Amino acid sequence: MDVNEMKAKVVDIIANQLGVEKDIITPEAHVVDDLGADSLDVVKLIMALEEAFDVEIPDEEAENIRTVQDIYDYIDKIQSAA
Amino acid sequence: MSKKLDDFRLKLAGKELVPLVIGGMGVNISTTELALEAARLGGVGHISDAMMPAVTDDVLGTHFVSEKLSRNCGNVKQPDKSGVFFQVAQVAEATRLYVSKTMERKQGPGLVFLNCMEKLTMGNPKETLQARLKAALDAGIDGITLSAGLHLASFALMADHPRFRDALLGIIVSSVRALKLFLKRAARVNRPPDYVVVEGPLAGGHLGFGLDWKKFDLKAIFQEVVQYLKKEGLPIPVIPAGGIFTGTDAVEYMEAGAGAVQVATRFTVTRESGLPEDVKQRYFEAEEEDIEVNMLSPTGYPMRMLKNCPAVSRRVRPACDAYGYLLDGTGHCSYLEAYYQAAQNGGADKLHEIQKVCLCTHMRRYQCWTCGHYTYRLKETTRRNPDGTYQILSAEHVFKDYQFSTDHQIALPEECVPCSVIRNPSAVIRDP
Repeated sequence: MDVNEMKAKVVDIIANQLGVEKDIITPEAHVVDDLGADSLDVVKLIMALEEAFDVEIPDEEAENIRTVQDIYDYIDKIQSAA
Repeated sequence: MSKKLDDFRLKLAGKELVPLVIGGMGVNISTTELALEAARLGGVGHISDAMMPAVTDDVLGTHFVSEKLSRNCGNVKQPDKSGVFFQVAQVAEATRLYVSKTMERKQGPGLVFLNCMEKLTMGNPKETLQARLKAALDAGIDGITLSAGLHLASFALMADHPRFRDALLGIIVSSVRALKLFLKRAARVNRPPDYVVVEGPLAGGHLGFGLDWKKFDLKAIFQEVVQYLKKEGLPIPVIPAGGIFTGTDAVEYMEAGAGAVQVATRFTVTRESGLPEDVKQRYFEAEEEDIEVNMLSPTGYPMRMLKNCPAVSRRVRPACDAYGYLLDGTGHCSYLEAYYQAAQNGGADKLHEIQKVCLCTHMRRYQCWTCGHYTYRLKETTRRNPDGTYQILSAEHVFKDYQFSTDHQIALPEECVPCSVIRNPSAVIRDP
């Protein structure tokens, strides 16, 4: 999967899990402050990402995920390592 | 005729139990004795795993706390606690000892569960949690109630234990959303929980809500959970908790489809409760305005307590070197940080400005009087002694009142022996 496909998939998942319009899911958007997620939404989102990309995101890593860009970077890192 | 709780049964593990669960109250408020009474009377009792090494020292004369302190004593006045840790084997040993000593004494048809808190991160969240879970299973606990956290990894942490499939395992949630996340993870190890406790906003101690807890209602959340499990085809007993004060409150939930109810506040003032006698009197005396939900807990969760308790006004030096139950994986605790920041900025004068409490120290010393919303109704449940104090109840009395009362009635205890003797010295002394 190339980076653009990956990003499109991430945007789909965020829109779906958080019930937000895709046009506000910009790379710099903060998951909590800008996309209105609460702590349970964040967990739900992480779990959906894990499922979609078949990866396991450890809690320590999940804590560092704040923006949409952080998600892109994390998934990209995992996929390049694989 | 109006119904009583005893008209219903909780079906768990092939047993038919009195559908009354006494919730876990830490630190050592729900004692071994209280849990054993619930089991003897045919219900479910809990012991709590909050600060279990310290409790084991108090109850069984071990030396887990001093051993930990002696390993870390060079660090006592230092703010950096990243080098302070529990030895996982000691955590397991304390749990194994305490649980097995409890289970050895169990009599009667009921069950004893362990309330296991995820937020008790103990400087090493995953390993200490795993050690506590597995040691409790080793020691023969009937069941484990996962509490204070989402516990997304907890089932996986004990999945290789031989008792993982047959011990009773449940989870406390405060929303259907949290339950959905838990069930999704539980599906990975192909093991649904055996019961789900739904804790509402009137519960005691830490709450799974924000400071906007008043906007939530146990009945509504309970119904949502019941409907969701039904829709998913999961026949898991749902156990509401938080504010169930009379047997009739319990019956209302049973008629709405509950598997059992979980209660605790009324047992804080029983002989079997671990609270010191004078603190039990403070619970009886409490008025509604004496109870507050505040943000003093370093966990970041709102907590309900009596606002006249010593913990609210005192700020002590953190004792993480001996305790440290709330240190995260990198040695941080929000009280610890606030304390050393205040000490640096102005010394003792600044300490009273700290908006957190040292929960480990205060809970161990019974100085943080966490309580349920209806604590102010405890005085309705007993008689006054001639000296003005309130008569302490037996756990059996409170249990049976829940079990048999109708129409929201609360049975008062028999007048205590000294009172009858005062009035009629020739009265036969009855077995209390």
